[in-house]
Amino acid sequence: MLLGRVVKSNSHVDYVVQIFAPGEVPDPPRPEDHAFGSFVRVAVGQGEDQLIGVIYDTLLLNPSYGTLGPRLSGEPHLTAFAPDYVPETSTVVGVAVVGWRHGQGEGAVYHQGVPPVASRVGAEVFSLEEEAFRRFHQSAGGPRVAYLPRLAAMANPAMPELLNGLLSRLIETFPGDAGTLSVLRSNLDWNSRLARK
Amino acid sequence: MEGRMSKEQPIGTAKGPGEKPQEYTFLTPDRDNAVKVGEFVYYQTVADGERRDVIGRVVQRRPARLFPDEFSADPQIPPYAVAELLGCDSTEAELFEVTVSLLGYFDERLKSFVNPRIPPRQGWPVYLVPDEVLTRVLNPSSLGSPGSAHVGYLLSRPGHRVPVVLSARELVSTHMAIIASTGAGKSYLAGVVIEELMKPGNRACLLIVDPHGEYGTLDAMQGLAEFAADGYRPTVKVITPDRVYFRFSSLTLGDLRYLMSDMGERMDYLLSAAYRRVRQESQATHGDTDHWTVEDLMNAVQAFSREKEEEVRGADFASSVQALLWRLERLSDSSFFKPYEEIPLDELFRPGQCTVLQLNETEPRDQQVIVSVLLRRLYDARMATVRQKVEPGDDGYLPYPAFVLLEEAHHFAPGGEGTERVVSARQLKTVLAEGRKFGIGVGLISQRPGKLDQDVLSQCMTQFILRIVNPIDQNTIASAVESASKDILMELPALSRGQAVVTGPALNAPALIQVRPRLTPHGGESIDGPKEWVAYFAPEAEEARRREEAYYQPGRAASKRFHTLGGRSIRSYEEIFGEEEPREGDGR
Repeated sequence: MLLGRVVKSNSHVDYVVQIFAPGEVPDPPRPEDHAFGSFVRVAVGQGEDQLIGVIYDTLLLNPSYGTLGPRLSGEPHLTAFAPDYVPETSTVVGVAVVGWRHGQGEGAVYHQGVPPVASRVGAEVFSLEEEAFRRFHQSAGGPRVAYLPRLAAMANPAMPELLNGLLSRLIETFPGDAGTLSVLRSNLDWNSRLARK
Repeated sequence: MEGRMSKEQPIGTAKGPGEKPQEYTFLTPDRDNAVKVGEFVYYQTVADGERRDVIGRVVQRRPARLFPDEFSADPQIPPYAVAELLGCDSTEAELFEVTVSLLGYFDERLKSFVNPRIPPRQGWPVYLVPDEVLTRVLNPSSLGSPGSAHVGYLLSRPGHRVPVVLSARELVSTHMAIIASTGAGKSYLAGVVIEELMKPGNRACLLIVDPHGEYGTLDAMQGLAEFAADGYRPTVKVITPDRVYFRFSSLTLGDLRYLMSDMGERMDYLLSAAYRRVRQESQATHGDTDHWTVEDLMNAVQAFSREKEEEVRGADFASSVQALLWRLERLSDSSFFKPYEEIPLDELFRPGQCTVLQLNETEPRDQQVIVSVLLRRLYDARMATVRQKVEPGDDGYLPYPAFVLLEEAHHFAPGGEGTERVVSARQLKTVLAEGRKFGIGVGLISQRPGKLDQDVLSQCMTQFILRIVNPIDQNTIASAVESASKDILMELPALSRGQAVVTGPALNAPALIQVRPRLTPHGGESIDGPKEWVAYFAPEAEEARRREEAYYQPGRAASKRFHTLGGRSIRSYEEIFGEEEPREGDGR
């Protein structure tokens, strides 16, 4: 599903994506489509490569908020007296890039880590499909979350919950490796809930 | 040795000097689990103008990098699985810092290790010493060569890849000790050493003092092909306690005092005077001081006491004389002492002959005196022969070196303040200190080094140390064994049965070994208690007992020793101690 477009980046692996609002696309995304912890893919140029990232933050932008000056007409009358007025509110999400995909379909190859190339402003951002999520985390020896230490190191108070949710999802995706993943999840839980106190 | 070993792949990278001057450390992932404690490694350097392979022994291995403890939270999930989840390659994760004790490069000319005192620089590669090089530099003798003793294999090289071959010459001339806890395999190892000494390449003149009768199985050597060559076959002569006897006059005054330890001062005075007198008389009439019997000594006691009574008015030695004569008579009843006969030395000691002197069923004090007399006779004979004071055919002529192996050595040379009072300890110390010059070697076997006299233990240069758990025993070894470095002694509690530390001049460097299998049956196995108890209730055993009881007749020999009082069986003092109950006024 098409979610939005890249509007800026804070670093090579930290993008800001504006979510399409109703009316911008025929099938605008619902809030659960760009939920906290959702995986996305970001187009890179015109080629087949795509960045893979995870939504780690959501911001609601409203330029009108704080504009307390006199206004000739109220909100309900704007359609009649100022038909060209478009509300400038929007939802933007922070996407932490955790890997990339080379190629498409069955032949696609997934990599975890920092991608060598960056995307561009205006690049389209899509939800990562369930099968792609599985393949992204699949290695020869079982599931792999090599990007996890980098995510954990990001200065974001909500990150422990994101990682917990991510590992829970991986446990569902890879039930055969639930034990190993649970050890990691418990370890992160302990560190976030108790070790920091 | 130049360039001979460098074709190997390095197993680690030197980190730098260790805590002690003779140590260095290196880092290794040790993927093949090759770097064990006791293993031999080397690095290359230039010393004395030549490229040298400097060999050292691994003494410690500690982790330099490990998985976090939290990764081991689930016993069913190995920590490397969690690490793999995070993208870590498990084979590269663990890193070990290994401490190596330097031996040096092997100097072919000196046939020993020379420490170049150049620790490796950081980054120098460290290699595992190849099997064939280790075999050559570790062993002073090659396998099967004359004068060699193949006692086992290097523990760190499984599959019997590196045989450990000692120098039999050093082993027997500089004395040896086998020390181990009960059940660690000391008698088994002693059997291996004996086998090696009796092989055609050595043909030793060997006497084993066997207080438990464990070495009788060695007679199997006589029929085995491994021991036969050029018409040679070893002779194994087992001497049972009833065939052990000595001339009474071979006892010294110290021996007599020791055997009659409960003497008073007057008795001691009489005995000393009488002892001197019989020796003087023997010298005058026979030309040597040992031609007298216990009767002569008893007569001399009586004669001397009479003279003293006449000399000093009021002196009364009657009670002391009676007591002394009673003790001497009791001593003369012992089967170990005969008037003029004794086991000829050349019957006990002969090249190619392993004499097993079984002393089971012998009182501990008697055992000590027998060992003392034996060692003294051997020492005197060898000294006289070497100094050419005796000729072929003379009594006490022994023209070849001899080796004596003492089981339960702590019994013959106990440690502590009382050691000087034990006759065998004094004699043993003399032989250990001076015996080398006259070709007498001694091997001590003990399960309690803590109870063994430290001077005695420290004289044994080659040490076989098996599993020792008792900390007192460990400390004794650490202080008494000069050639064993502390680090190798740390391994002692962790050794398994049949594994030993060998250290001393018989081997070029201390090593951890797996003792080789015996060729002859082992005679010192523990008795299987539960098995024998269960066998007691076997139908055939119960039937045999029923038959035995059916023929039971009161008053037959076995029951004569007991009479019943109030339903309890009791024995008389005489029956228990073999003598009449002592009475007052015996001169004590």
